[in-house]
Amino acid sequence: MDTNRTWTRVCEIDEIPEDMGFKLEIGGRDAVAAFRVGDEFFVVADRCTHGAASLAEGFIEGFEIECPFHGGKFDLRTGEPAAFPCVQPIAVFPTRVEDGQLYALIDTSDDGH
Amino acid sequence: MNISNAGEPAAMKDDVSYVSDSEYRAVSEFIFHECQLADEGRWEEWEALLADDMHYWVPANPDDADPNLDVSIINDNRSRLATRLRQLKTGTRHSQAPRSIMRRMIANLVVRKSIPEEFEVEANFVVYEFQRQSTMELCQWPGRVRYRLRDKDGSFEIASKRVDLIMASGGLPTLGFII
Amino acid sequence: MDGNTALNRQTCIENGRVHSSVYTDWQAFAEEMRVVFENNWVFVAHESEIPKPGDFIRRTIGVQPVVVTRAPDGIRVFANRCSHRGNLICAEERGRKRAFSCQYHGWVFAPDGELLDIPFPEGCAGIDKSKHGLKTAKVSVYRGFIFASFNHDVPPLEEHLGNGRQALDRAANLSPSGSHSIGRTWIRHMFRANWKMLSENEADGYHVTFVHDSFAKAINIEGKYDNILSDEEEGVSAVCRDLGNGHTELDYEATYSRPMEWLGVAEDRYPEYTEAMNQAYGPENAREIMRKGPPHTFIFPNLFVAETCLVMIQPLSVGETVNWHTPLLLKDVPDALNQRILRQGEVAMGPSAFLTADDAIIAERQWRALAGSPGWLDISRGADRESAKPEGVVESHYTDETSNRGFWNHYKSLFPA
Repeated sequence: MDTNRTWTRVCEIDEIPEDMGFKLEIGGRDAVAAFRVGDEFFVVADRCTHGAASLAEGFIEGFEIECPFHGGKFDLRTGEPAAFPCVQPIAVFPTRVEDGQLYALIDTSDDGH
Repeated sequence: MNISNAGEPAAMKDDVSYVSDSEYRAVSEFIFHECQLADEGRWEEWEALLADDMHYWVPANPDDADPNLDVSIINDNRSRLATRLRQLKTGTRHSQAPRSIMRRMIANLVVRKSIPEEFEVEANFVVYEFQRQSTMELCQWPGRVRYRLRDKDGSFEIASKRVDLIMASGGLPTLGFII
Repeated sequence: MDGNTALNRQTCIENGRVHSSVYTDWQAFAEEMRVVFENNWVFVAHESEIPKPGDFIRRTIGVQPVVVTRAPDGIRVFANRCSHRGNLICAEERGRKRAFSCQYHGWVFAPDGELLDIPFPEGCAGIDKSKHGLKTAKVSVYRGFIFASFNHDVPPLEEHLGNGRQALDRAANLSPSGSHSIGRTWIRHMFRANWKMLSENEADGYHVTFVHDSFAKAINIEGKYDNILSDEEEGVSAVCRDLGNGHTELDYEATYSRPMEWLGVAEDRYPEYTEAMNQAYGPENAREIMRKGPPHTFIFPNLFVAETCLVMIQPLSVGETVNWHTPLLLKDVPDALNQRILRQGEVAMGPSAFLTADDAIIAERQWRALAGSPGWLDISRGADRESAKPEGVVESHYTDETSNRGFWNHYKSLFPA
């Protein structure tokens, strides 16, 4: 178990836009993006593994997030690439909701991944 | 006729059945005759083939057209179609004065019968139109046509005609004739 | 390029006549695309076509393809041409994107034209991204009508619209909430003629009796056509106007004695609409708005508010033009009213319409005659009886060529000696 991972507050669930993600910069580290599909919530690494796009700006289709740059896709549940040109998976983080707040288990330490 | 699910044509509905050879022939000859009347600008004879509730429709976005939502190239109920034909008959409708010389080919005719006793006809077509009103050019109008026909007095009447042009969403030159 | 054409607009456009080469000279056409279209305000789209952030549609400014999109910070228009090797960035007619990626080498652009990403960047390390953004247009919106210009120093839109503004107000005020919500479909009618023939025809009242007599004979319903198709010149009470800045209009207001006559229905046909209009504008104003009806106004160089239709004139070449149209559906009115506007939208405009189909043939014949037989064309009709109105407007009899003179005077002013 990675002892550097802590439950981090990402946002209020109402802050997640209807068809986009909510982007949270984590000081000194990469950003994460939060998505809502029905009553389920997902938090993934915001930066696409193919280019410099922010996945929070992409479109959601079912459980897939489409990167706004070249149209590649990832499965929000597993982080696995779902459509070309994305071939490397993105990190996904466990989530929980408490009192209308979304939390994700993220590595918040300052020294690298 | 027994058709197993594995071999069932995708477009066939439960309440639609094939027609007999003689019905197919009668419908085909009626359609060919209708085409000839339209080609030759015999508008009174063409109008005599129409049902009182005839709907004549040429959508602008055939893939996803809704006549009540989308503006159409032609969307004539029987009354508007009557006006259209009256206008043609004046002889001063410039877009058809003189009348375009036309011949259309119609092929891949599929005829089915639906309940209540209506024939559904689908076919591919292309109209070759010599536009001698202005440009003196030969114009082509390819597409797919769908008719609904009803039995009438030993022949048929046209309840609806829908024409899906392949280039409906592009820039169309004047279409002043009956397509 | 300047100086490459033999056409001198200062000498071939006079107040009462123009030389036909303005319609048929292809070099003059190329100049127009730059001077008349790209350098000035042109209409590109209506706001209601791109309601959500990310929505986009493809249009043109002159012959230059552009994308019109609703970015998070407002409406943006950019040239649909990659700054790398010039490919068409966006091939879809409409859709929703938050970034635009060129299909050729994957360069990615933001809606404001900024170059966001270059694939395999090491090879392009010497490229300054800030200098490789897309060519963008200045955008201005009035009452939902989106205008754009590649000239970032163009005077404000309101100044260009001038007396044409009242026409856009007149159109939008037919809705109790003051706006339109147009449908998803436009019809594109190809005229094998020069774009200026369409612009001039919009406010040409003289031709109606002759070009459209077959329609008048065919329809059974009484309406404004009874007045316009009168054999007696004095019997026609509609007027024609030069609004300045190249804008022109016909006005049928004088032929309407009661509300909703313009739509060919009884005034109490849509009681919910009447009630909503009374609430929005007060009963007296509402009644007058509903009596006067929509405008029949041409906004230079490519927009025509054609009563119940929105029309956009798209030049393709010196002898080819596409006339786009879509019904001007109103926001917050009963469905039945918009249904009627939709149906009306099929009557006047389009390749098979009762009216414009014949206008197209006339324009095509005109273009062919002129291409073969150039000469001076007379547009002096009514010059001796037109009257000056406030704000620089010139008004005359419906059949007078006041509108043509207004169009050509403004056009000429864009090409200084």
